[in-house]
Amino acid sequence: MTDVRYNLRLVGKSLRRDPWFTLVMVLGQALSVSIFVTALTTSQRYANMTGQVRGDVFRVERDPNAALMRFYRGTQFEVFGEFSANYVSVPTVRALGATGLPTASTVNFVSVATGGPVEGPANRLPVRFCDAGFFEIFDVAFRYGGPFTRADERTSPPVPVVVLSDLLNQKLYAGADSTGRTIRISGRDFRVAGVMRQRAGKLNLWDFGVAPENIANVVVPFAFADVLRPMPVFSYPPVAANEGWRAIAESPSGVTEYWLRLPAGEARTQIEAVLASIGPQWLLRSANEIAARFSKPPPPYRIFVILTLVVLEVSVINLMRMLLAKATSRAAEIGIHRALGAGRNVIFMRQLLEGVVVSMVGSVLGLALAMPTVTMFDRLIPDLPVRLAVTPAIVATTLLICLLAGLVSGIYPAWRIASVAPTRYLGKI
Amino acid sequence: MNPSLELGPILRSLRHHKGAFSLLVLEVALGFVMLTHTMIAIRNYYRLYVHPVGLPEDQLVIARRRFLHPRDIEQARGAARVDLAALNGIAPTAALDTAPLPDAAAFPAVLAPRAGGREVLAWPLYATPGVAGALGLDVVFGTGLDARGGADANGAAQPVLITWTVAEQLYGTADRALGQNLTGSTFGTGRVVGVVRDFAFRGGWVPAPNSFVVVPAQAVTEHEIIYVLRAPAGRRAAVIDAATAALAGTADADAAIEVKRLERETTRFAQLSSGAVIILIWTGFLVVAVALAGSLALASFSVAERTRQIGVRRALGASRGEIVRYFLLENLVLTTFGLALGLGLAAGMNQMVRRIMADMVLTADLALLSMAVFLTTGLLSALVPARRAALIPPWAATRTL
Repeated sequence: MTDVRYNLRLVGKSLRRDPWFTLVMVLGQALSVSIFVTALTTSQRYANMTGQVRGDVFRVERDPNAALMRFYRGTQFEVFGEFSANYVSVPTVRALGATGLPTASTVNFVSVATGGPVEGPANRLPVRFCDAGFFEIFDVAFRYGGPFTRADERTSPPVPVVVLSDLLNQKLYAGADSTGRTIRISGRDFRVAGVMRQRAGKLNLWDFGVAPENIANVVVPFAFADVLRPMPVFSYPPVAANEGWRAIAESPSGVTEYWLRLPAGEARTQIEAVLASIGPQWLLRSANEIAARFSKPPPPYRIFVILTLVVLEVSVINLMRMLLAKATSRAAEIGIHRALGAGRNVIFMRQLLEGVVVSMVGSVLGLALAMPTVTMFDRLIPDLPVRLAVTPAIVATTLLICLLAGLVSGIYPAWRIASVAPTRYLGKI
Repeated sequence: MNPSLELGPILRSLRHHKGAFSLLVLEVALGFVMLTHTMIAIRNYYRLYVHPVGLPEDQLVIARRRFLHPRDIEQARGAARVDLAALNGIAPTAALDTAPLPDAAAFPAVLAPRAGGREVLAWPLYATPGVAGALGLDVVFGTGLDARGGADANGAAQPVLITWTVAEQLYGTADRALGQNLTGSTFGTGRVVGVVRDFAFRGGWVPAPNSFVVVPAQAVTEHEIIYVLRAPAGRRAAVIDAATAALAGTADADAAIEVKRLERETTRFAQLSSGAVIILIWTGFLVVAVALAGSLALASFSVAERTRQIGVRRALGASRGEIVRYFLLENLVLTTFGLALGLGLAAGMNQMVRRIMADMVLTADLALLSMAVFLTTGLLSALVPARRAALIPPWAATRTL
C-alpha cells in the first residue's frame, strides 16, 4: 500500500513536471472517451432488453415475411422486416381471449386521434390501445397515480380513464402530476388515472413494433375501440385505411400485437392448439426469445460504436507514443533509480501506473464531457423520444474498458524503459 | 538536396526508433480507417438529406381536415368531395392516404406482373384521381389516373401509375409497361395506365425510395382527410390562405383545419440525417485532432532526443532548410507507410461494415480525401519539430548533456 502511494506520488510529480504535455494526454483520452460513451449510450437505447419482461409472458407471432426481411436487410430499418411477424387480427384476439387460459392478456397497438387536454385546442394525439392486463404483464412502474383496472373495463359502459406515458405527460403537462386531469380524445372525455415511469435511456421491449408513436402516447382501454374507432398506424398485411374501424375489426389483417401471460402446465399447449385451429402459421414466442432478437443495437448505432472504438484505439496508441517519448526523455532519472537499486519490476510498475493514471483521469473527464455530448446527440437526432441516459452500467463498462486501455497503453513504454540496462542511462548523464 | 540521398539516413533512423515509429504508423493507419468510414457515413446521411424527391417541394401545400369526433366513412367521403371541389378551384388538389415525406413507417406492397415474372416491392400511394396534377408528377408514358378513371372493361383491374424504376424492374423497359396487368399485395389487380418519372414520396430514407405504385382510392379515414395542393410558383402563401378559408368555410364545426407548406427540413428523417452528419463530422474531427495534438506535443521530445544527430548533420554542412526537409520527408515516409497499412485495414473493415449496412461502400474519392487529410496534418505536425530542429547549432554535436 505504501509502495502504491509512493509510486503514485512519483507519478504525480512526473505528470506535473510537464503540465501541457499531461493536459494533451488527458484531453486526448477524454475526448475519445466522450464520443465512445455517447455511442454506447445511443446504442443501448435499443439493445439488451433481457429481463425486462418475465419468462412466462408470450406474444402471438408468425414467421416474418421473407420478402420484407430481404427488403429491409442491410438498411437502417432492418428491424421493420421482423414487424410483419407481430400483428394479429382482432377476431384472433377475441378467439384467444375467449379461451380464458391466460392469467393476463392485452392487445397493444397505436393509432393517431385528434385531441388533447380539454383546456387547450385539439391536436394530433397518438393513442395506444391495450387492456388492463398490459400493466400487469409488463410490471409497469408509475410516476403518478396508477393503471386502469379490469373492473374499469368491464363495467357497462367502461369507466373513461386513461394512463399517460411519461413523455406525453412531459409534453402536455410539463411533467407535473396530471392525475385527475381530463383529456379529450376523438370528442370523448377521459380522466387521467396515472402517469407511467419511462425506463432511463432504454426503449421498452413492448414498444418495439408499435413504432413510431410508441413512446409519447395516451394509453386507452381497448374496450373503447368501438367508440373511438382507431386506425392502427401499423398493420400487416396492411388494412385499407378508408374502410373504417368496423371493417378493420372484422378483417383478417393483423392490426395489433397480442401479449399473454400463461400459467405453468397445460395452458400453453392448449393455447397452441387454439392457435393451430386459427391458422398453422401462428405460434407463441416467449418474451425472452423476443428480447434475444434485440441483443444487438440497430445497424447505424452498431457502426457508430465500432467507429468510436477505433477512435479509442487511436487515442490509446497516441497515449502510448506520448508515454514512450516521456519515458525515454527521463532516461537519466530512471538510470539513477536503477543504479540506486530499483528493480526492473519497480520501474515497470511505476511506468505502467502512469499510463493507468492518465487513462483513468482522462476517462473520468471523458464521462463528464459525455453528458453535454449525449444531450447534443439527443437534440440533433430526434430518433425516438426516449431521452438518452448515461446509466451506471455504461459508466462501469467505460471505466473497465479505459482501465484496460490504460494498461495497454502503459505496458509497452514501461517494458521498453524497464528492459534497458542502467549503465546505458547513466552514460547519458 | 537529392531526396534519394536523404532516404538512406531516414530509413536507418526508422530502424533505430522502430518502436516509436511503428506506433505512429499504426496510429495513422487506424486513424485512416476511422476517418474513411466516418466520411462514408457522412456522405450517406448527406445524400439522404439532399436526395431529390422528384416532387416540386417548393410548390406543395398540405391541408388536413381532422374530425373532432370519428366520422362515418361515407360522411368522410362526402366531406372530401365537397372539399376537393372547393380546393380544385384554387390549385390542383388530391386527397392522399398520407402526406408527402411522412414521418410514419409503412410496409411496401409486393407487385407481380399478371403474365408472370419477377416480383418487385414498391411503396403504395392511395390517392384520388387528380394526384398526378396535385403532386406535379411527370407522366412519361400513358396518362394520369384522372383520364382513365375506373376499372377496365371486365371490371377486374383498376388503373394504376408506376414509376419508371418499377416499370423497368417489372417489364424490362418502361414503355412496355403500358397496358400491362399486375397484382399488388395490398390492392388486388391493377392495369398500368401510366409510367411516371421517378419520385421519392417517402424521401430518400426508405429502401427503394423511387419505387412507387399509385392506386386510385377514396383516401379518407374516420379521423382525417389529407389533401395535397400544388401552388403555382410564387403563389404558395396565397394558396395557403385560400385553402384555409375554403376548408373553414364548409360549415363543418366538428373539425380542426390545418394548412401548411411542405417543409423537408422539419420532417423527422431530415432532422435525423442532418443531426447524424453533424455528429459524424464531430467524431471525424476528434480523431484527427487527437492525433494532431499528440504529434505536436511530441515535437519537443523528438527534437531533444535527436539533438546530437542533427548537430552532426549541421556540422557536416547541412543547411537549416535541409534539416527541415529531412524531418518532413521522414514524416512523409511514415505517413505513407501508415496510409498503406490503413488502406488494407480499411478494406477489411469495410467488408465487415457492409455486412451490417450494405450502403457503407468505400470509394476511391473518400479514401483519397482521407489520405490528403492525414498527409496534410502529418506534414503540419512535422513542421513544428522540423523548424525547432533547424535552429539547433552545429556545436550541439559536441555537447555531452
